[in-house]
Amino acid sequence: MTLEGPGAPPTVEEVETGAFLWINTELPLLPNTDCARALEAVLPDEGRRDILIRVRATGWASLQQQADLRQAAARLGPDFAHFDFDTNMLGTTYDDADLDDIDKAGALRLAANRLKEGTESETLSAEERAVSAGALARLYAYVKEAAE
Amino acid sequence: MRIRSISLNNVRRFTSPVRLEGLSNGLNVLCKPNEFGKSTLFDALQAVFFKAHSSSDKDIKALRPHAGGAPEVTVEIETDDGRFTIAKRWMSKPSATIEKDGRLIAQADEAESWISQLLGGGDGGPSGLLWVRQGLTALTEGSKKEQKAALEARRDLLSSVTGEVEAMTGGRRMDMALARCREELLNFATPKGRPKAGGPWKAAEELVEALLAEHKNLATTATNLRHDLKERKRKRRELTELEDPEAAASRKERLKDATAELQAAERHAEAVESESRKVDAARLIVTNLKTRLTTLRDSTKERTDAEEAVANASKEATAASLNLESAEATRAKAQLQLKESQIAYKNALDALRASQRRQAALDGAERRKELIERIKNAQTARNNMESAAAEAKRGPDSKSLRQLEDLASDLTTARAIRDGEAAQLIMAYDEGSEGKIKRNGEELPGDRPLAIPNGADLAIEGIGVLTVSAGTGGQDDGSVDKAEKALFAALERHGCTTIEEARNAAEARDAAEHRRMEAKASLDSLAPDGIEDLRAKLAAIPELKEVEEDVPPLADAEQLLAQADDTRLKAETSRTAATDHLSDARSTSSRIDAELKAAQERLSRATASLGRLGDTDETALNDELRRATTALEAAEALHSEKVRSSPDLAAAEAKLKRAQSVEETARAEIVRLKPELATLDERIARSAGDAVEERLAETDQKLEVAQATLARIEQEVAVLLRLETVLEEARSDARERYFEPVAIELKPLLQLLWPDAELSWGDKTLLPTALIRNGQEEPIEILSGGTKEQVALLVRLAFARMLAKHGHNAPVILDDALVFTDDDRIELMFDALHRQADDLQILVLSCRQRAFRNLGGNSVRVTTRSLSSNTA
Repeated sequence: MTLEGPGAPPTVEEVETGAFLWINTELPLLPNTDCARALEAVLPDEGRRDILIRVRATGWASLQQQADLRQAAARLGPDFAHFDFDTNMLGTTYDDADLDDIDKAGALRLAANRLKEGTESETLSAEERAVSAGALARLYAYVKEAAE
Repeated sequence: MRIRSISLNNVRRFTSPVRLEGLSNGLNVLCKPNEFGKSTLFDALQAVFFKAHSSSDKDIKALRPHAGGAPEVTVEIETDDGRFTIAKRWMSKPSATIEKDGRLIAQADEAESWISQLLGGGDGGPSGLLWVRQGLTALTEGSKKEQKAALEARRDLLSSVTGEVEAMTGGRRMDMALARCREELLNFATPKGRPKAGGPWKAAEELVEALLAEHKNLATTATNLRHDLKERKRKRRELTELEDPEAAASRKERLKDATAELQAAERHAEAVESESRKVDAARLIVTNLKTRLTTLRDSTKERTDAEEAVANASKEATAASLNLESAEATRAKAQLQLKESQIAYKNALDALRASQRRQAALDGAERRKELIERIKNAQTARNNMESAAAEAKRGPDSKSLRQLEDLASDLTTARAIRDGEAAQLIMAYDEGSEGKIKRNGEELPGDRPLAIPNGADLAIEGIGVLTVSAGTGGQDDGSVDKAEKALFAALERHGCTTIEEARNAAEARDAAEHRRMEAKASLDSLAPDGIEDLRAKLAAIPELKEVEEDVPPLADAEQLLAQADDTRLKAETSRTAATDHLSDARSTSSRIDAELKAAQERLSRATASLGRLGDTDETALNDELRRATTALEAAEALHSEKVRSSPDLAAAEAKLKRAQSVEETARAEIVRLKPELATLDERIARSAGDAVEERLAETDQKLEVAQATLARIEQEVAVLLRLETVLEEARSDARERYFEPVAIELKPLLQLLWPDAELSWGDKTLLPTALIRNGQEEPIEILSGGTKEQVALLVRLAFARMLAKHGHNAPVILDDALVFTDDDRIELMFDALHRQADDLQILVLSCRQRAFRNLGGNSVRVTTRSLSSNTA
């Protein structure tokens, strides 16, 4: 905006500062999907800096898949202007191999077993089961993280 | 579970099949030189139990021979359920099978899960630990350098035991997981689980709070704005209606009509009022006349009645006065009589008392006399008693007399003895010469012996004095004198001179005592309580006095008193009656006086009343009344005619008031509405400028986002808290389940090697920190290599024992466990192993052939297919 002098009408000139694209996308997963690749597939390849994106993961994934997914999200997220990754709708499947990955025996296995019971318990509320599931996934992630 | 045989094919150096057989319960020993492949055997065993057949990781790759091929391992085991064969093949055509007595019972994944069940996995127990070779943690053979490093590690007790402890408690991985969990939690929360100041949780909470407050604020403002707009619309409509010109004109017209109507009605009302006043005046005159007529009639009658009443009352008053006088006289007389009768009664009462006293005196006279007599006799008896008592104190009593008699008898005895011993004179006088010899002036008696103990002077008449001397033969020893002196001294004490006198005195004393007793008995009978008592009794009896001699006898006095009392009572009664009568008469008299006075007053009032009426008579008054009544009737007729034709004043007033109020209300409403509208305009203009609705919608959106963020953070915190809790619980459970039991199992094993030794364990690391021997605490680090490995072996055995107690019989496999141990100590260790072998299967792999030769245990056979046999 320019002012020529006292009383003169201001001159206004438009300048483009930025344009952002809002994207809401869904990431449907199955127990055997390669999660990292699936995530990359739903993300746009170009202009990531000007994109605000929200990815909502749905379906089912094992602990290993979830750990992979989380890693991929942490790797890819910073490319975007805004990256919101929502796994609330993503269910978790557990098998003994996953638990074996945490530990075959001992106290860590004991903790993992208890959390798994918590996710399957019929006496607990849905929120409490979700908390147990989250805790188990987290434990798995920590153990994996330490193994690398 | 117990291992019976192990077969290998295509495993490292065993490119052709090799088989270990003859594994028994208890201790088994495989003693082979280096490079035989003991470690390969060990790794193969681990792979069978812990590596899935589908696996192809570096551990499995390391099992392949240099020449390539698929490693195969077959293990025969025996459990409580029977004998099984586990066979596994990796890499190419991988497979896993479980056979029982040659029959396939599981394969592939089924077989893997069967193995996992067999190892007792699932309950979190340390199933694998007994399979781990000491020191080495991986299955790799590795380079020479790595093997060397592994050997170093093998010597390190800490690393070796750490493996077991970690298996139990999760160890470093557990610590790491907990630390990560806490680290993440600390981003959000304080150690107490509250949102941390400055953290994202607290920030999200504060944001939600702030947005909620703003939302509430804006919502209120918006509601107010909407309300204001509605209000303004309504008020504007009202104002328009009020200011409509047609409505205003109609209101004015109505007001004017109502005012005119009211004025007409008021004028008519004044006319009616005037007629009404005239009627009132006429009615007043009539009433007046009627009153005067009535008063005249009443007053005349009243005067006649009053005159009659006065006459009657005067007559009654005279009679009452007479009656009163007579009553007064009667009462005075009765009073006099009462006084006299009272005096008479008092006299009679005095007389009676005097008579009673006299009678009492007469009754007591006899007793007085008797008492006086008794007092006199008692006095005499006392005097006698006292004089006798005085006498009874004189002279010797019986005891003293006995002493005196004894003394007298002593004297007589003394004299008789002296006289018997002394010289004697016997004078035989001649006839006629009697008494011619004198001794001490007395004639000497003749013809009888006379003792002369002290000699004697004999005066012989006419001849001279003949002195006879007793000589010095001790004829007198003085005892007579002594007895005499004693007797006389005793007699003198009792005031006597001779013993006879003393005897008489004693007799007199007895008699006096007797008299005293008699006098005392007499006194006691006369006055048992003493003479004073008798005197007091005497004083209590009244005496007859001279002046009361002439009182009448008691009976007469009593009768007189009764009569006097009777008379007095009668007088009292008649006095009371007279008094009553008098008071009746008095009240009657005063009542009649009052009546008389009232009648007189009534008369004077009636007379006065008549006087006031003047001299008008009844007939004239009656005429006047009739004329006045006619005038009243005429006035009333005129008045009612006017009333009938009058319009309704109240209705006219109401109508006017209504018209006025309508006008006023309209004006007031206009005045009120205008400023209110101005205020509303102002407020709406201001609020609309603030873009309230838009801001409200925006805040709504922000709030939704903030709440979602908060919920995610809260979920995250809950997840972390849950994980932290579960990890901590698991660690402490593992400690309770395995650590304490192992410590208990370890103690006897340690004592086998070092009596009185004990291990102390770190509280947090759960690792042995020191060995306490003979009270000396030695840190593990400074122990010798041999001691370290021995401790490590014992710890391992303790684990095995603990597992066995829990029902999991796991074989213990020791691969070159005792490198640094000397031979003596190895023997001790083998004692420990034998001791374990009772309930455990132990397989020892060693290269120390010589040292192990004589240590016992079952030797394991190794056979290869290519060579027909090979013995261990």
